[in-house]
Amino acid sequence: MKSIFYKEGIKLRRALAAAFAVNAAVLLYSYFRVRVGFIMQEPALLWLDIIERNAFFFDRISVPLAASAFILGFLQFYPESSGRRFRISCHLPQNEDLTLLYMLLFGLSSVCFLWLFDTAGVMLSASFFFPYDLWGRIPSVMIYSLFFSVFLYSAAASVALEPSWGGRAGLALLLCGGAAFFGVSVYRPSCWGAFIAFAPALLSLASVFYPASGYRAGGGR
Amino acid sequence: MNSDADTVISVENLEHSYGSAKALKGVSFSMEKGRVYGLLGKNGAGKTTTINIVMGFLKPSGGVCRVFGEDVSRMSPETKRRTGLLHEGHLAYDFMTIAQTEKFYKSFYPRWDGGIFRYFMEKLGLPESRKIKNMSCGQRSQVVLAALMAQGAEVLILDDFSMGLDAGYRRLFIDRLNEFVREGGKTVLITSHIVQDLERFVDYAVIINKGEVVKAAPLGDIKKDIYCYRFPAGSDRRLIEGDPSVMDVSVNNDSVDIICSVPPEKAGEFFSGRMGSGDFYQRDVSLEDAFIAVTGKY
Repeated sequence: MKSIFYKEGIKLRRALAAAFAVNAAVLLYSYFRVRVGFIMQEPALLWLDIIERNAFFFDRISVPLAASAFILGFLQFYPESSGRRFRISCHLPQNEDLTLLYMLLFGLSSVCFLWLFDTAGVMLSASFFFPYDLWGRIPSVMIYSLFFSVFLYSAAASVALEPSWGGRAGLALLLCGGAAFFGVSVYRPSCWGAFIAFAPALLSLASVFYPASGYRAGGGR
Repeated sequence: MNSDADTVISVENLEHSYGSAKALKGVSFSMEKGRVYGLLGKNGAGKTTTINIVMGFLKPSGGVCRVFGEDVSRMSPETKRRTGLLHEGHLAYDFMTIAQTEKFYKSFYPRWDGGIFRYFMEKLGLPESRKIKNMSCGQRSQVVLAALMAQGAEVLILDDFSMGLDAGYRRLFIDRLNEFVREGGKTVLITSHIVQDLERFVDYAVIINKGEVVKAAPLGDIKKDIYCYRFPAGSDRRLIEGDPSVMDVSVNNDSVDIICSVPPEKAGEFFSGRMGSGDFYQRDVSLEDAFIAVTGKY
């Protein structure tokens, strides 16, 4: 596992640094937006917003998180399918499903670290403006973003790893259907919503094994 | 007769189709320990399909391929460790540097020979921090070959090693490989579009044509009963081209080569009536001549 993490680290270190930088920049931007909001408007109006609309003022951070996860998935697996390089990974002297699992674990850890970074950043920023009752709930609200990011990471990984363009199109269509689930915002504030969101995230991870299995059957011939 | 214990790779009755087109029609051969085998075939003969199956990256429609007695599509980690693959185009993790490549592979291969790897890299004269993607095709081939040799594999499967290499790098590749294989008693299966390169390396040739093995024999036997005669340029060859004894007529810039089954003692009589010229001499038959004689040009 250490060696696979080493390889994936080399492949993704620049992309990871860029992802952390972009997410940090968006966090800062969100912090200043809320700060300006409090300066420009009557704080009572903002509080009313929070109470009536269940608003979450740092919501925009979920966009760079999701985009980073998608790009990481693509950048991690496209070099494997390009030139059928995944054949080298398949022939490493260990079980090839295990090789793929370690690769996915590296990607997932990266997404989770990014999420932790964002969540910590949002909590820290929010603690300046909101009471604990609100910012204490941030991880449970943002867990939904984590699952969506995991879903997007896996979708990008499986599409990138698939060696044939036809297969890529088919997988992309299927995964677009799955992504639609995350557009249903009614689940978002609830724990059940997060629990339900866990299922498609897990299923999408399993989908990466499908294009990988094709390499032994002649995929990318 | 060699025992099964000496058989490193066995290919039994392989069949494969792409849609309705049958690419392999029962290909069989086996490889014994310590020998170098060349898999030869024209474009579309089934060579790539066979090598993909032998490497374990294509499931055949029928038949089986075993490496060290294991089905190649389900190789155990230990068998993978004993089998080194060189993929077409010298595939490598090109986002890695030379030093990173060594560190990565070393962790997977307990018998990793750092001496060989570093020797090759010193000869290459590139800094260890150079990324593989920033190397020329020839330089990349040397890194891939060094990594393959350092793994300590017992059997090497090399798919079209000559792809993208100029004459110098092709020769260097074969020189290095020859020394390594002879010293270590390795078993090798190699393919290349450039048959002349294989002549310097292989002991045994397996020739595939139209999805079937048409000849499988030691290199000397492949050339047996095949002769080549050279005539001056412009010799009239119309009468000879349809003769059943003639396997190929090749036109060069200053001569015409005739590959046939006519032995030297009968050549004078044979050609006098057909070529209208007794001005010819016999030259050595190359593996490429024998290959063309067996498979034809078309």
